[in-house]
Amino acid sequence: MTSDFKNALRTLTPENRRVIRDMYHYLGTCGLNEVVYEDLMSDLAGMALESQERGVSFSDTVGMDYHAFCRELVKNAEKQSFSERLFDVVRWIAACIGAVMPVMYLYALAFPRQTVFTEGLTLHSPLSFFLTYSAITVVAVLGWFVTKRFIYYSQTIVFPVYLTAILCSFVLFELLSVYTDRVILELSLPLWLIAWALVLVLCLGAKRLIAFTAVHRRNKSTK
Amino acid sequence: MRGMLEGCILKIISRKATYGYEILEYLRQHGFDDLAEGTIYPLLMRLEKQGSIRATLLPSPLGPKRKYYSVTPSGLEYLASFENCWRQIAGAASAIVGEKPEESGERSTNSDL
Repeated sequence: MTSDFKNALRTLTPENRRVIRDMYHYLGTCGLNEVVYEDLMSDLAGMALESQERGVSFSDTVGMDYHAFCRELVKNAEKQSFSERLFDVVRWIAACIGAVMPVMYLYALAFPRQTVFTEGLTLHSPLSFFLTYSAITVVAVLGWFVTKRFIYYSQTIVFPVYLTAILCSFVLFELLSVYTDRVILELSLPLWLIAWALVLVLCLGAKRLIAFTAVHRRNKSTK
Repeated sequence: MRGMLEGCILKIISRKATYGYEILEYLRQHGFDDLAEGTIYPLLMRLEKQGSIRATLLPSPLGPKRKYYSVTPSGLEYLASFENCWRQIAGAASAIVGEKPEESGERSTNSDL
């Protein structure tokens, strides 16, 4: 969120804010170039503010179902390049897997077991346990994005598919645990947190750089 | 309709750098009564993406900066080809729509023969 966008959000009426937030969440799942997306949201917030000043609701300004308006925007906006998409997906996977370890550490600290326990700032856990919960977190978070993206199309299918995917990932990794149960991980919490932060910063930086380069290249070619 | 609107928007922008709501007001004043910002905004995005217009952010009295659009050289080429197409279509359409009843009756009699 840019500061312009945040400031505009604060000034909007609750109804307009709800519409803009809904658009923000929906468009955020549509794979738009990051710079274009931020620019677009700032524009939409400005549009909502101006219509508010004229005494017209934002929905009336848009003039159609705002979900249809969003789909129309997505058709015309610049999408993420393959590399930007890749860093985006890697960032989210890294964020999910990274969060699993500290949660497991706290869990093992509170409820130590024979297989999962802590020793100072080190977590001892079977690989299978770690893999299963990492996979579930990744599927749950990435699945949530997909769910948000298709929520306006087929609501009766989206949620059952989402829950089935989570269940399947659990079953699959439980079956795989026959092979991964014997490997015991020893993970240092501080090192893990440093590595996690580094990966996230690198992915975010790379993604932003790629998005900026794409927009800069396009602007240069139109001059 | 979409192509025609794009052409009209380009023409308006080619006269002076302007922003979305001003374009909409201009279109409404000239007979496009039912248009909403939601209709023209995606078209502006499309024109910007294809390189026909470019946007410059300038301060707005309300909230975030406002995008002012201006035409690029390739936009001017696109506008010229739109104007040519439009003249042909408008000429052909008005020739048919403006045809007098006796002329069309004569034609149908000829085709009967």
